[in-house]
Amino acid sequence: MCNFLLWVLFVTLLTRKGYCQSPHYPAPKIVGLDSDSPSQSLTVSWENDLSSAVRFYDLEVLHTETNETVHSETVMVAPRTDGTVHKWKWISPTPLECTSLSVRIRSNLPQVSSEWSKPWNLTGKDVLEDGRAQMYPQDKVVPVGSNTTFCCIVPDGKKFGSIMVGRGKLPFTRISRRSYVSVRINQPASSSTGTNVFCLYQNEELADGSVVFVGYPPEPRNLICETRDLQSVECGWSLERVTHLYGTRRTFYSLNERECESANGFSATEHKCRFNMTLAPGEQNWTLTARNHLGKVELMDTADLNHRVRPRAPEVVVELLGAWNASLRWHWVVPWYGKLPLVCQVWIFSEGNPKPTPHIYVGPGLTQALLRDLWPDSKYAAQVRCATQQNFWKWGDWSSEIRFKTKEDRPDPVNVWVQMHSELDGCIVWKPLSKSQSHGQLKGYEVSWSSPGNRVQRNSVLSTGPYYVPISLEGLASDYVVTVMAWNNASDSPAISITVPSSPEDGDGALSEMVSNGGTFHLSWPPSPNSTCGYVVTWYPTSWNRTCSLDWEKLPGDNSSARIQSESFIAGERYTFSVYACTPGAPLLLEKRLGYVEEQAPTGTVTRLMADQIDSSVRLSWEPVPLEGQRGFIRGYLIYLYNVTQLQLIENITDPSIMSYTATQLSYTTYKFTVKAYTSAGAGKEATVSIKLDPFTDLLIMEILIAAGSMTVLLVLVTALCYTKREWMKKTFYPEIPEPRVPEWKPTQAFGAQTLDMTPCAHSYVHIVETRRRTSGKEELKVVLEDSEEGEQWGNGPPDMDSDGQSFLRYYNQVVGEDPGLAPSGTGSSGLSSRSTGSARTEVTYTGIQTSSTSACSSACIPAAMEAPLSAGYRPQKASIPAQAEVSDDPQLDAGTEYQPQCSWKLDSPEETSLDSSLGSPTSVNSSQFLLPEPSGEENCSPAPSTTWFRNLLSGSGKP
Amino acid sequence: MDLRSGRSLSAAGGSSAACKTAELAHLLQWECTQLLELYEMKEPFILEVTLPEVHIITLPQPSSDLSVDKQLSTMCSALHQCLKLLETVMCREEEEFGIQEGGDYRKMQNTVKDRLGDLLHCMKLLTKGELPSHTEPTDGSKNGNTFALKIWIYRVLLELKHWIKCAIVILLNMQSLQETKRRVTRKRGAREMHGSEGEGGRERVWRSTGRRSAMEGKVAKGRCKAK
Repeated sequence: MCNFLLWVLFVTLLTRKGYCQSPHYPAPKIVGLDSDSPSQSLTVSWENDLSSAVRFYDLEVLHTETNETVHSETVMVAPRTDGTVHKWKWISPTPLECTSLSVRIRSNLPQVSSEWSKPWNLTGKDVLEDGRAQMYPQDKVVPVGSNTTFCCIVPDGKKFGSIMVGRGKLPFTRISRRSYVSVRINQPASSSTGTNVFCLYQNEELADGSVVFVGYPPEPRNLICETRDLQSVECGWSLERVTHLYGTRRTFYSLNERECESANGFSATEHKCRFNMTLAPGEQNWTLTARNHLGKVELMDTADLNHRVRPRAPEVVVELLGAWNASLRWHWVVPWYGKLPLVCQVWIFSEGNPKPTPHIYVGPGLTQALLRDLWPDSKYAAQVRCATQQNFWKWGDWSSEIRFKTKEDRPDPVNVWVQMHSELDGCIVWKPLSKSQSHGQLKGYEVSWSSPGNRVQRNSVLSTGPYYVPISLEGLASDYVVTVMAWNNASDSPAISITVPSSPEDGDGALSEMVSNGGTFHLSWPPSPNSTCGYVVTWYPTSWNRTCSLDWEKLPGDNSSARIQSESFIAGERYTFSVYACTPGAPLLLEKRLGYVEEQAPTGTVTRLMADQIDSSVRLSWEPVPLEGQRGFIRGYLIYLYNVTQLQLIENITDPSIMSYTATQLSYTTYKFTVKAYTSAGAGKEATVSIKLDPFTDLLIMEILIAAGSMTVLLVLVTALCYTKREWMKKTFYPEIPEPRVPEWKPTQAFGAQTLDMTPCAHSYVHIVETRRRTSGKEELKVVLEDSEEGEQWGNGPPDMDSDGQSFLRYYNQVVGEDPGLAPSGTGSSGLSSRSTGSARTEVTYTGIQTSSTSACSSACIPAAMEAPLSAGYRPQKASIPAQAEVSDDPQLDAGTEYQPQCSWKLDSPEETSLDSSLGSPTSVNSSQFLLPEPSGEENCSPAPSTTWFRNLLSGSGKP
Repeated sequence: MDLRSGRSLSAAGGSSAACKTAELAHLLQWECTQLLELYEMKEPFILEVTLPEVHIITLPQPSSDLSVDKQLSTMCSALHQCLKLLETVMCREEEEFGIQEGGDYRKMQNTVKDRLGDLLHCMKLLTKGELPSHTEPTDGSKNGNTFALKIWIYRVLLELKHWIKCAIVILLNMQSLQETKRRVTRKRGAREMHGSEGEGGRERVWRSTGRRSAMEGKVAKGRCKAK
């Protein structure tokens, strides 16, 4: 038991004394703790005794307030013989101001360690003495992509809210009672005014903030040094990238340890460094140092600046030398340049030609340049720059642009031509002078023409045109000479004269044809011995041959070919080309040609397309396509036959002079033909014609005529035969009937022996009522027997009730004209009778129909029978219906108009129809009585006309 | 006058110098607002925070006891300090941030600075012998860090806008007073022409003018305090 207690006491003592950890080594002694806030570093200094052989120390950094270890590290120190103080530098990720830090140290031996030293404190800003809100770090400059820890210290009584960057909140950690920390990682480059990080209270009120500048270290490139005047050096460089650091944090440059004032200004944009110095001969090193908060870079260039001379810009003046030349003079700001052999470049910018024309001038001390071949009245701008001719380094600076305008000069000669439309009429045409030909402000053109012995005719034309003058020559006796000249402010142009061609141009018939090749006409012609001054090729649209529209090209020398190209050429337009030989007198026409710059398919159709039938063939004929619609040389015609659904090509006429075609072996139907003209570019529009083939049309007509003629001749022959044989025929068909014997009449006996029966003849009236049937359009007669009352109206006495009622047709022989008293007056019947007079002396006249019981009374009834029917009842059969309608207005005649005979031979009463059959019986020539007994059957009179004409013919009346 | 068009003062439609000066102040107020908006675009954090209300320029607010001329003189002093502060702002920004010429913000700063100089010149002409006492403002830009500088610049711009607004009120009061005086003078002249105006009536007019002046001074004070 005693032994156990002693062992416990021993162990307890060991533990309390720490002998297990550092039985022999005391804790190191911290002698100093230095801090650097901008770099967030602290340096710990400690010492140990000289006899110490400790090489490892443990160091710990703690938050003083929370005693939380922030960093611990074991450092190794070298054995020191000159002293015992060791230092350890630590860079804190958190600004040192954020909170108070404590540092302690102990010796670290292989098996045991010493005690921790007494901690040294680094007081932060979150101590009670400083009660305001703060934020750290302030204005820190960090590279792009780095992480930065920010802390916000809030005063007592205020509640921390958040740490924000822009509108974003950063996650935070509380490291002390008042201090909160946030880390911003992988920071992008900030703007020129930096990135704002700020701390808010819980009520969104601003506590404090800081600005962090995130950028890049400097990175200049391509350092090149030169001299402008051999008395100074000028070095320039370029920047690889923007540092994003401005203002006080911008990059500062120095050249050979001399500050570059031109590049170090607040708002410097020039990356050049220049200062005066005396240049030593030979090569020198030029070192540029660029530095900012994030780094330092050096660039070096080695050169002999005597070989790197880049002259400054000269000061240039201009001197005009007439209208065509100018002189540039300049002088150097650095007089020393005048001794150098220089090469100078002059660029001339002319109006309308912005692309400069470089001119090179070489010479020692060059100070002027002559500009030749300028255009009069033109604006120019010139710039000059020079370089050393020997050891050429770079072109110097351009001089400022100098502008000048040359003077005016007389215009160029006018290119004139005369085109004659006829022997006396034509046009003077000239080409307007371009600006380069005008040599100034063109005022106008003066045109004159005359012939020897005649007065000179003049005409002035404005510079704006028109560029032609129509002329009318007074005669052909002599050559006319035309002169045209232009004038401007400077002077008149040289007068150009041309003799009017003596003969007008001929027509276009049988001219050779040509087509351009890619818009260019190639013409060649046999050289003319008459040509003394070349040739002239003229051309104009063929359809404009009467206008003054003409273009031409004058070919000097003996060249007998030309390539004609013009922007005015129009595809599909025919042009007439004429080649003239230039002679001392009038131009001599050598030949003419027709040409198309590009052939197109015709736009017009053939004209006057006609189709004619020739038996079973059709001959098509047409006239050519009008010139305006040809659009090319007509190579032929295509003949199509319209075949219900499509055009069937039936002929391709390749000779354009053939303008007809005959289609043969066609059937007799309707055909539609289409004709298209075509050029080398294709077929044009179609012209169509239709024709109907009629089979033997003329023969049919002939047959009809022959048949009709034959019939006529036959009828004439028959008629003539019948006429000549009428006696025979009469005897054959109508034998002579013996004349009846009339008993001798004795009037005295009659009046004396017999008493005239005065009893009215029993008669019956037939009242024919006309009933019009509108539906049939014909009038129908209705036969109604009159009753006795009606008969009273017609008769003078009561009807004979005793009569047997048999009706008789009463006949009266009338000799017209012999007894006018018996002839009814003003009746159709009389008319009819009178017309019959011409053909026969005696004619049967129907004057009435009445019934009579005895023949004796018939004579007594004559007046009554004559009166009533003639006054109202009977109408001539030829009378027309409208005539009846007019008459119907008379009530007295109404009854009469109701009677309309159906035919010539229509009888008035059904009782008399039986008599109709008797009409064909032989009759006496001198009597109206029928000689043949009447047939017993009843026949209708309506079909009678078929035999009427023949009967009339035989009777010789010739009338129905 | 279309204040936003930037037409010259001489082209303004106002008849009096006060009127023209007021119109110039209106134009400056609009330009100052634009400058503030441009600054807020540059430093958008400004819109995210609530700043305590602290004035940089500490001048006694125009009192109703002061005459309009005195108020005008005080206003000149305040605007003068604003001009100095604005120049300091421009200088500090160039140093600190290397502000490039040609940017919209820089252009507007120059415009406001020039216009403020014009306004001060016009207002001095209106003071009629009441020369403003120039007090140099305290340069608060170098006291703190860059963040504090930005806050200070914003305060300067707010301060400028505030004093321009006060100047407009005073100038309008002054214009109203001048028109009233002119109207009264015209009436009095007409009465004298008719021989029917006595001394008593003239005194009434003057007393009336004095009351109106005092009343409008109160209005101006109230408006300036309204910030």
